Amino acid sequence: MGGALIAVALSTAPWLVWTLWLQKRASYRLPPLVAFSVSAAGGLGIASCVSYLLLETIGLTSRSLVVTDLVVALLSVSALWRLRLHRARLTSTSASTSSSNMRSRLWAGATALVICLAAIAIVLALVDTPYGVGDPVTNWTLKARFIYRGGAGWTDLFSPELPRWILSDYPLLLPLSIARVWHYVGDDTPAGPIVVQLVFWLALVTCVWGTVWRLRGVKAAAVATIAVVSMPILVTYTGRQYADVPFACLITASLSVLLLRDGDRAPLAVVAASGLLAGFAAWTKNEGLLFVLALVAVRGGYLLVLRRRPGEAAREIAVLVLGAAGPLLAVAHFKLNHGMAGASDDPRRLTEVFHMLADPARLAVVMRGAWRVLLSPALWGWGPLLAIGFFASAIRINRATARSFAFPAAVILVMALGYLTAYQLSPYDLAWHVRTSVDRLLLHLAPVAILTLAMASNAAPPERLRDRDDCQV
Amino acid sequence: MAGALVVAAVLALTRTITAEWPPRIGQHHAWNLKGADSWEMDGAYRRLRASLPSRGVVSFLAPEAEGSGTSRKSLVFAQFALAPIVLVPFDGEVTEEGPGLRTVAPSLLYSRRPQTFAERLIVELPSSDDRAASQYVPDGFACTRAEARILLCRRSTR
Repeated sequence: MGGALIAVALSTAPWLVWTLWLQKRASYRLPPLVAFSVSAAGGLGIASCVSYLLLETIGLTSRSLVVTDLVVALLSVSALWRLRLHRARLTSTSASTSSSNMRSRLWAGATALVICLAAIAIVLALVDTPYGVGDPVTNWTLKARFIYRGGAGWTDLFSPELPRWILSDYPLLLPLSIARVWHYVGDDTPAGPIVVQLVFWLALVTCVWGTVWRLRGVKAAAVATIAVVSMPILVTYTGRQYADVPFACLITASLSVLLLRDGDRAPLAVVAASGLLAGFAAWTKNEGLLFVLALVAVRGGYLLVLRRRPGEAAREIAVLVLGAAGPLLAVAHFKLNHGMAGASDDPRRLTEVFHMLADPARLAVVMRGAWRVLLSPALWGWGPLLAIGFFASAIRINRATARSFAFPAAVILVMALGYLTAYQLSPYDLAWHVRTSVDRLLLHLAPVAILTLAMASNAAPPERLRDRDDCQV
Repeated sequence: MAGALVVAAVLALTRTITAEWPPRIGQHHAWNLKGADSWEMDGAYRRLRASLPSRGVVSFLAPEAEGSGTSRKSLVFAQFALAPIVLVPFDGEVTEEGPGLRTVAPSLLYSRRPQTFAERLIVELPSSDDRAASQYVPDGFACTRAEARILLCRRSTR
């Protein structure tokens, strides 16, 4: 377990430097829990991309990995030292948000209690099924074993003679993160995927808390976080070690920093971080490519239509795309060299595509399946419903809240339409495909949806709402 | 409303925890083992795990060609961390076990790309009969009998 924690801790070093740089150069302090979330999730993302580079060049061995990590750590320590020298000049914009009254502490305590209970439930599930259930066994962890144990023969993973349930066209953030931990531990222990999964779960939870706390105050943060954490579906899929939890974490973190950009006057540098996190989502699951497209398109439209600042919009979109470029290059290299192994060799004609897209019977199957999942208290618990009630009762319609709500809501809408299109064009038995996946697709969007609802409420201190009315692009 | 949320969340999570209490390490594996057909091999697999190399891909030749037993076996093997598992049945054609699931026909194994995946190979024999064993040893592999029905093989020629 010690080796696993060292592997994770080392991966966060570049982000630690970034958050301090943000404070020094831009005089902006991320909410501490968002900084933790971005550092943990983004750190694992960067480490997996570096591991992929090693894998494709000199080979991913314990030696190459440790040497690379040491170089990165030394550079980080050097940069931290230089930044530390300037610490006296740091300023923070967040002083006004610190709240120490008893009620705030009570809400924070209640949230911590629920998070602890959820963590216990997840650990029990992990103990029960330490190798995971379903996809991790047949896909994510199995791929990690090919990478860790296969040596130069790791590409056997893409052999067409392997069973098709190994989703060989899915990218490698999770397998490489697990393999990296195994290299530090020296064994392919189940602790590897468990630690990676728990880090992403914690990063998701802290991201929701930190973002809503900064933008809407402690009570709204407590409601949003408890609603997310108490969802049985999140507990279940974290315990089963599915990649959908890291994916949900990355898209939530990516959107969160943009919400902080809008609502807390975060500098342009956070937009690059948002792009990077979105790129890592694409490096985790194929659905991430849809998220990158949705994010760029919606952000562009939002800035042009609602903010009417084309110059700023162009600059921000350029930074967003630039941020996503690194992981997307890894995805492109992976797809071109390996990831097409699972691609269909039976391209459909255009007319057939249109026919499938417009088929009302297929649409009915998808909607029925999604509706059944959405209405299941066994999957969601009562948390999201009560959170909807809370935020609906606190809704305040003005220009600021409408803007804060419109952007993430539009991203969710585009994602949902993308998922619907994918189902309409699914080459599999549609009922089976929907039955086995729609709950996880909805899980991707659930934390972001709760975050979005929180943005529509007026739960923030009044002075912060006034601030947002004239916030900069 | 917010207070009700806290109470609902605490109750729901407490219920989940009490349902799972006390912790049962690897309970899911036991469930799988009971559900499949030849899980008397369980002890053999566990012993085998200790003798496997720490690095390298291991393939697994299984007697079943189709049915849920095959997929269950592959799952259990992966859970026991014997994997990477390449599950290759001795007989039967390419079989679909539902969307996205496939097993590999022996013709592929023996003629087109024999022993593609492994330096090491585990062969689970259909019986413990010595005479049957040799016909299941692929060319290019040298095997030793690890258990009554299990051969542990190493690639002898490339």
